[in-house]
Amino acid sequence: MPQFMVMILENEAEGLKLAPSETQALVEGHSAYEQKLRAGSAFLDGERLRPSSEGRRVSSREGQPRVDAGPFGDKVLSGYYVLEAEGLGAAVKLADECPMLPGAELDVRPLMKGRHQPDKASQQGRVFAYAVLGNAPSEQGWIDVMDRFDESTRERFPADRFLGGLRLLEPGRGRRVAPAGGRRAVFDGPFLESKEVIGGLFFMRMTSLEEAVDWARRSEFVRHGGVEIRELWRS
Amino acid sequence: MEELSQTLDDVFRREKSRVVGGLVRMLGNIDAAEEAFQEAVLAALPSWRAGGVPANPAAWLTTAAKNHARDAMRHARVVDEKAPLLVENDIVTPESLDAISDDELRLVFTCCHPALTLDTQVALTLKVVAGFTTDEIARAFLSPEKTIAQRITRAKKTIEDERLPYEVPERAELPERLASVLAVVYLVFNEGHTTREGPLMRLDLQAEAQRLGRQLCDLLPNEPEVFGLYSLIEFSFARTATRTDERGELLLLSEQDRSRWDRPTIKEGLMSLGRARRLGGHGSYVLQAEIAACHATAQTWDGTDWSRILGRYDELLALTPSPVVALNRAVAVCMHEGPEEGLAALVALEALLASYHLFYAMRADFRRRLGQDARDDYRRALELAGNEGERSFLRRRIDEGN
Repeated sequence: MPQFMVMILENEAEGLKLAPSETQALVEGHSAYEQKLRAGSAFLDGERLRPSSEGRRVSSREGQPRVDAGPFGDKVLSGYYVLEAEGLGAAVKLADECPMLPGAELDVRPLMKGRHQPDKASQQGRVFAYAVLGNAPSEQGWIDVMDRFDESTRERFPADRFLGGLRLLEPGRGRRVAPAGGRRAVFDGPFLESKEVIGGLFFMRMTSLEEAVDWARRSEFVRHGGVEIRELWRS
Repeated sequence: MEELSQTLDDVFRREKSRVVGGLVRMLGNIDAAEEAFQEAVLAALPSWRAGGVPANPAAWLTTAAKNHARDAMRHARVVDEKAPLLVENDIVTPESLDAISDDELRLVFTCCHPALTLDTQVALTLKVVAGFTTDEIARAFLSPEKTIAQRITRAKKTIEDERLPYEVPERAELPERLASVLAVVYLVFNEGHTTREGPLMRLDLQAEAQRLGRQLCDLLPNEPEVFGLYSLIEFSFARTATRTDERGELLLLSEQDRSRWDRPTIKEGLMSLGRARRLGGHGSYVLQAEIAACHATAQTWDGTDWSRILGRYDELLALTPSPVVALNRAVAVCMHEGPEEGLAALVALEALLASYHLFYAMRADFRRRLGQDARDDYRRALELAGNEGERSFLRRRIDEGN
């Protein structure tokens, strides 16, 4: 069955406006949503990401690695689910029930390939998500960038640190669920806007954020584009 | 320059347990490991001041410390059975993450070994794991530096003399040994939360307990009580700014401005409690965190879910019968069922808590709610209170004619 990643893109400032009881409802809402997906045998993986203010972006500027500290703007990846569904329509329907902050958007993207490792929170060390970012004027150009990432990084993850990774199909093959006129509406791709588009996520455990950044600086990812490094919540 | 020194201090403190953990395994004892670490810090200072903090400070410090230890051995012409191990370990520098985590855990479990007294465990953990100086620990605990230094020396001697094993406890032994580690972190937190004497709060101890708690979550990610304790610390930490008024006087939970509770910290508590629940936790820290979560998410004191809190206190009492827990349960009884029932719940406790100021403060509060004269209880509480903030709170109540 086809697999999809549902990416939750939130404005973190909205999260700070929530009363503690509303935060609690959101946290419990995610547990309930996950249980529902599991009950329907649709759940493959899912994690929440710690605030982007604790994150880093590693890219290159004029051939030199460059590290930027978060926060990263008003549409920040705050979590994801990986689902199994009959098709894109069914995946969007499942995604539509995902709890999220007011004004948040969901990107539903078909998976190209990869290895899941569920329950990353049970691993020792600090667990980081690396979002692979590619920037290109056309969708084909973006695919070429992601292919280059893929070729130059394959088999180059340290085995005892690597906790799986997933590559996504190009954004035009996905859907976006966004608020419109007081309810959620579904929009078609492509979403190759001016900003970088996520091509995949992979996961590594590290002793510290510094080590996580240091690994990225030396990696091939910096040569072709960049990565956003975000620690996972243990939940 | 001042700022850079502060940054470097933070880096050294943060990396200490990771570096020293590995060094103890290689060198065989904590003293030698700490000395090698100090030498590495001395070597790092000029180099990092000039060229910045390296990308992986822990690896830098480990290498420098190992080099120092090897040179020291050569100088002393020590033909020790540890020397070959050191050389061998030098080659495999990028160690596996599990090996690093195990080194850190061994260090924590050794410093919190039940063969040492609790005070000693606390001092040793703050020194060796958290990287505080004896002077800093002494100031935090309002003890003479000499006392703390002696405590640490004695602890190291006990570890040597009794040959306490430098290891992560076996599965069967883990719950008991872990309880000892968590007790140390809890004590550090409580010392920072309300001191027995002197100024009301000392943030550095609270922050350190928070850091240690988070570190334990990363080292023991499948132990619900670790997440329970961390969650409990976070809920309490979130209220730091509202615990006293502008005159520095203590404010009760019912009087605090809840809009000023720190929301990201409450979220941290909720997420950790979620993990504890997912791991099937129902130990005493998880139960205390559940109670703290009820308070943290309630919009008002009166609107708190007292029935849920009462339920958790009943479970907690069944697990660890304690008069102090029973005292706190009585508050929930008072709020849920009324002050008369609250007073009834206190009757059996007076004999056990005759020297505890909060018993009298609480009974005074219940009596006040019933319109009874509570001044004797407030006076008794005042005589017993050790903390100036608490004393002035009680004085205020007496002056207000209750």
